[in-house]
Amino acid sequence: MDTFGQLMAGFSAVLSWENLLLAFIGCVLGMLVGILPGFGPAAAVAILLPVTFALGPVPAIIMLAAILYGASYGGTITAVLLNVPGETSSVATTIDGYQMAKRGRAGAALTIAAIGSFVGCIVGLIGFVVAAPLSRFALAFGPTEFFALTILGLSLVIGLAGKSIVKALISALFGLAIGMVGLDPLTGVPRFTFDQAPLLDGINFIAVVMGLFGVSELLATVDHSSKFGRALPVGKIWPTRTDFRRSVGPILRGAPLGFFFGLLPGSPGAATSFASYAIEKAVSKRKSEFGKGAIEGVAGPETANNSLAIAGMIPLFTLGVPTSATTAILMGAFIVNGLLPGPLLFQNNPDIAWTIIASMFVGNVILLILNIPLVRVWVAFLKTPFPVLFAVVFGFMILGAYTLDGSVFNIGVLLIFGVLGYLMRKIDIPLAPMALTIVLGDLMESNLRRALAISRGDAAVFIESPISLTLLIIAAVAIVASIVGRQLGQRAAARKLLAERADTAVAEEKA
Amino acid sequence: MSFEPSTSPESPSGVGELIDEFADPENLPVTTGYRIANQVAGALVTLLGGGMTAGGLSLGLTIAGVPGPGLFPTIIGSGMFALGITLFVLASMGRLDRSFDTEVPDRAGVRRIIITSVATGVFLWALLWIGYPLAMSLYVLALLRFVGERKWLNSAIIAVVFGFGSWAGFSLGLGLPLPGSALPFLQSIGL
Repeated sequence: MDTFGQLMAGFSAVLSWENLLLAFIGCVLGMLVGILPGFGPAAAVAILLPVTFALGPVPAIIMLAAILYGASYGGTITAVLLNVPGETSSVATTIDGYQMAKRGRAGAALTIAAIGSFVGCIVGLIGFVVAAPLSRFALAFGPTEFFALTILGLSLVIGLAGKSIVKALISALFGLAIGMVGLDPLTGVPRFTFDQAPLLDGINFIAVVMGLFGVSELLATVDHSSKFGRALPVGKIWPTRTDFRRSVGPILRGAPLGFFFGLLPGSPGAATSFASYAIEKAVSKRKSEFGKGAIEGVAGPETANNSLAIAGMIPLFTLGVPTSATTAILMGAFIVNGLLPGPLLFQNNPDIAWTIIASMFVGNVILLILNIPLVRVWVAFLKTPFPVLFAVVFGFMILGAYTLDGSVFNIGVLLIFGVLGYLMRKIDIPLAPMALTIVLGDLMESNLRRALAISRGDAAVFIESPISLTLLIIAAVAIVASIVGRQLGQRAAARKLLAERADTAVAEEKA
Repeated sequence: MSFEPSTSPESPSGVGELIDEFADPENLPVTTGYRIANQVAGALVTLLGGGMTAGGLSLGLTIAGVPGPGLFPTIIGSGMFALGITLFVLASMGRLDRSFDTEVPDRAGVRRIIITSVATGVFLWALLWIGYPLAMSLYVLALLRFVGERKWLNSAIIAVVFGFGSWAGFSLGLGLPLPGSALPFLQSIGL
């Protein structure tokens, strides 16, 4: 069956009321967690993962994908109404989105963001469908090529680095170290288990990421007595005709921009959305409105970051390599459900792969339908007292950790990594590289050892294989590109800071 | 005064100006405490890396001529060892950036974190004795009352609804078994 036929078969499978309901529930749950200040898609997927345990592989992934884009849009709501971005890629949205909200135009900003997000996702998904058959090439990969591929994945760590590359590498190696606990995958020898029986099976990846992203986020949220700001009123929901006219260009430019950024390994979301913002400002006839509530400043970045999020899934689906913390968690979810993303997924379970891809189209339609009329409902959720959310989310994560395999041990893992994640935040060690490498570690080690065993210990095998050599060169280029992208992101963030300061100065001067 | 970032004619896209104009993003000042915390982290990573390298070597780098179970731990451990020393040296030289995420918790924040940690430890112990619904209800009650500082009655209602509601949802609805009580009188009432 050709690609189009497989996609259509995927659509017919996903359009059952059970799958539609799961996508709907996933969007709602993702949105509800996503609008908690500070909680991004990675935390939302990690926290809500246990909800999917009893569903079976395909429904579970459909729901998790819906949670992912629901949470992404939830982050946009807080960016516009509270000036608190849910994730770094929403930072650009706060510049003009929050200014629009201050002028009573939050509804228009959120609606345009929803439409832009939808278009971005659809463009990303079309690119996804086109790129998916490329996974066939990966079937020619042996251990040498797969090891080089994991090195390419590891090169993404630079893109996920925060303030310091040294700290990002420490986080990455720590993730690899955690992945080594348990029985050696090739010889069955226990490693770093300290004679503790629960450690023989290794440390559960899901419990680790729930702790790192969920628990540590909760602890970071309550460690100051200051309170979150109050959400601004939504105002009129439907944008004006002028708003639509002004948003068309930014949306059409943002979608391909985000997609191509997403294909580059390690592209930080913030750099992409700021690049879109900079382009929109450069081509706009109303440059002076930027920073004061220009709708183009919401439409472009929101479209770009959603297109980027979908494009970021292509390496996961086609090569089995996650490119961000969120896709790493999603990969964990695949594995928990007995699926291995990568070329073999399309080879062995094409029906499952295409059903999941089709569900993303359907899920985004559901999200668009949900977003616009229900914006006021999501905003009402923002008024839930934080202590209640804190206690309930904490309780829910503990419940989730237990249900991973019915073991209290995993609750301990959750808490230990929650505290560890909190301490890592406090000294600026980024968490995302660790999440990425815990997943990649096993793949990296087993392929390294197999490749060396086949070559009888000759490490030159990695540069003798043309595919391996190409991948290693791409990894090197990706590292350089990521460093440049990182610099751009940092400077763009500084730009926002200066703009805010200037606004404050203007306000003070006027006063 | 109005703020309007300039667009230089040399960089009509506006991207170039992002590079040149704001070369020094604002960080929090690097305090002695932050520096010490980084030194400690560097030292711990060095120790961990050293331990892992030693563990890897003891497992064996090769077995019968092929890479053994100790090869990868040795590589990773050595990397951690080197990076730990690098972080320690950088911290000692004060060459650190400090983001806003690293703000030290205030007194109320420390209190909340301690209460959360203690309550969670007690919960883990209580779970094995009184079972999930009661332990979770008491746990959520503790968080609401002592961390969230909400009223007793309000906290109790939310706690019971969550504790018993999640138990019913997961145990009865999704068929995922949750721990029951070890005490006979609680077992006799279905807990």
